[in-house]
Order: sequence, then structure tokens, then C-alpha cells
Amino acid sequence: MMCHEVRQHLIAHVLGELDLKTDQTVEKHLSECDQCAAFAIQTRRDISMIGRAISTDLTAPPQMCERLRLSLSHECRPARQWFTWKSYALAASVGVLVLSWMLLRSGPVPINESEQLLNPQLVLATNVTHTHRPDELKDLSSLGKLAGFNVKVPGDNVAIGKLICAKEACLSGVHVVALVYEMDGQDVILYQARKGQISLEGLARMEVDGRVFHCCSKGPKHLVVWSNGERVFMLASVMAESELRKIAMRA
Amino acid sequence: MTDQDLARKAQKGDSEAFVELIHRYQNQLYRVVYRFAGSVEQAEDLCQDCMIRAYRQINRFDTQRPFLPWLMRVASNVCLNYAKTLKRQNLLEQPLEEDHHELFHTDTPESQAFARSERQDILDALGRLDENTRLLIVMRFVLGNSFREISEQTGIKLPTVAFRVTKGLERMQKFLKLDAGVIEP
Repeated sequence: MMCHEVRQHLIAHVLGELDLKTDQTVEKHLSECDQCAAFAIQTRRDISMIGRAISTDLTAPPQMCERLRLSLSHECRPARQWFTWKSYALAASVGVLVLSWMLLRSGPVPINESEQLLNPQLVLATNVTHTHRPDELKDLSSLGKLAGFNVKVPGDNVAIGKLICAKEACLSGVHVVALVYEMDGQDVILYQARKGQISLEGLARMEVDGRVFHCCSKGPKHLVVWSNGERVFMLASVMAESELRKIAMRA
Repeated sequence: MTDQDLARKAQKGDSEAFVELIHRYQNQLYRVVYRFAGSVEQAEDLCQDCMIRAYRQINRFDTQRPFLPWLMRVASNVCLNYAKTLKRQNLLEQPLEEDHHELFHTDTPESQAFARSERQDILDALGRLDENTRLLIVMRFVLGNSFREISEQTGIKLPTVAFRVTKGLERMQKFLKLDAGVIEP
């Protein structure tokens, strides 16, 4: 340890606040360096003098407790501490349990109207046929509840028909796009995209028959958003270029 | 009766139990507050504030823990708030008062006068520190607390306590040398 480093530690050394290893290093240096040793003696003297000047054996004035007694006679009973950390922890645990139970038991969670960001420019791509793969079907039920739709999960490899509704919403800070398809005249299924989870790297620009589309996708389970000033929503897994051409022609 | 018993009674609204509890620690409280505030009048008023605040918050006190550190935590908050108020009113730069009624253990009137002036210089240097540092140094030397204990009592992180106390003492050394006309190499 160099002299300037030792001097930085001298006050803590004098106060006995250094860890054992650093203290021993400082002590060793002081035994070998006369200048630092002299500096240490002066520091010890200063700190001792400061300590003696600040320390005091004053006693509280005798009337202090009497004055307190008098003040307390006008005080209300101390407020009951309902909200200790224990009660917060208990409330949080109960909240989590209730929420879990509600999510498991309840039906669809309605979208708060004030949270909705409905897009008036939405152009629906209708009459799209899509066959779901089994792994895509797993998430449908939970996604539907999240977006507030009544969802019946179809069986594997079900062909779906008309897109009847597309909805944009902001749910708990997550941007969600939901698509509802009509199936067999009564059932609906939906897809959603969470824009926050789609990486910008997935953005692609495509031009089909003079119309510009932007694609945003992250894997087959995520929605692709195609845009040409208006918006068209489709599923990534069905979005072959030939189908895109059909949609573009319709739009 | 233990501190814990008294604290539990106080939590149920027994103000006499609280007074008894405070009575046990009033000297430590008074010394810290007095050294921080610098005058008897201010110290007495601040002590009253600390005690009333402690009474109002007594239900936050965990009776499994010792009372003095908790009381000191309340006191440190009251003292720092008081200093902030003074700062807003530009009244902070008042010299700390020497406790004249304390005995100086020196022999002659001359040496007693010298010690008195030396002590006042040190208290002046203490008064020139910012309130946060001053409080930590006072807790160190009045209560004899370690950095760790100060950290626990004030809720300030241990490295911050260590830094503030050592830097504060360095500054005090410099003030004293400057006041004494010592030119540093």
C-alpha cells in the first residue's frame, strides 16, 4: 500500500473501523514509514481532541419528562399500525391467491373501455382460410380470456372461415391485437400479438402489385401486421406471398 | 419492567409507560440532539418533537428489537427535518454553543481557558459541516456508536456512513488547521 492510500485510511484506522486485513496492512506500513507514522500520530491526536470536544456527559433537564407527560395528556392514543410490513405481505399473498383463483375460475376478463385503442382505420381481411396446427391451439383459450372474447377452442387442424372482428387494445401496458374468426357459423377463435414482444428485426417491407406492406412477425404463433396506409391483419403462418397478393387485390 | 414490556403498554395507549421508557434514554437523546442543534433551548424543543413523534409512531416499533436505536432513528429524522427548515430560512449558519456548565478537567484557569477555546473551535468546525455529516459524527462521538450501528439507526448505508464520517472529520481537521493558521505543506 502506498503512502497516499494509507493516509486515506488513517481516520478509519484511528476509529477502529477498518476491516482486519486493511488494518494490518496500514499498521505494517506505519511501522516502516516514518512520515506516515508521524502523520498517523497527528491524526490520532486530532481525532481524539475532536472526540473529546464533541462527547458530552450532559444530563437531560429534569423538566423534560414532565413536559412530555403534559404534552401526551393532549395527545390522542397512538394510531394503530394496521399496515405493518407483515400485513402488507399478508394482503399481497391473499391478493395473489384470489387473483389466481379468479383467473382460473372466471370467464373472459372484459377489456376496460378506457384502455381500448380501437383503430378506426382497421381494414378487415375477410374470408381467409387458415388451418391451425395443434401447437398453435394450446394458447387460444387463455389468449381469448385475456382479450375478453368468449372462446371455444376448436379441435386440431380446423379450417376457419370469415374474419369477423379485429381489435386493438392496450391491456396492462401490453399492446394486443386480437382477431376473431367465425367458424361453423357460431364459434370464434382469435389470435393476438403483443407488439412489445415483437422484435424490430422482424420488420420487413414488401411491395405487392404496387402496394406497400409492412410485416411484423416473430415466429408462426405471432400475428403479422401488414400495412399500406390502412391496416390489414393476418396470421404469420398463413401469409404466403400468393395469399398476400389475393388480399392486396381485394383491398 | 423491561423496555419491551413498557413499549407494548405504550402501544396499547399507556402514555405513562411511554414516559417511563423515554426516561431511561432521555440523556442519550438529549446529548445527541443538543450537540446537533447547538443550543439548550433548541435541544429541548427538538427533544420534545422527537418524543412526541416517537409516541405517535410507537406502533411501528418492533418490540423484539432494542428501543434506543429506534428512538435514535426517529430523532435523526426530526433533527434533519429541523435542519432543512432552518436552511430554508437561512438560519443554519449559527455557531454551536459550548456547554459552559460542563467541567473541564484541567488544572489552571489559563489552561482551562485554552481548553475552552479549543473546544469552541472544534464545535465551530462541527457546525460548519452539512447537517447529515454532522449528525453522523455526533452519533459516533456522543453515543460511541460504530459505523454499523449508526447505519442501522439512521437507515443510511454502511459505506455512506463511513465515507461521510471520515470525510467530515478530514474537513474538521482542515478547518481547525486553517483557523489556527497552520499552513499545510
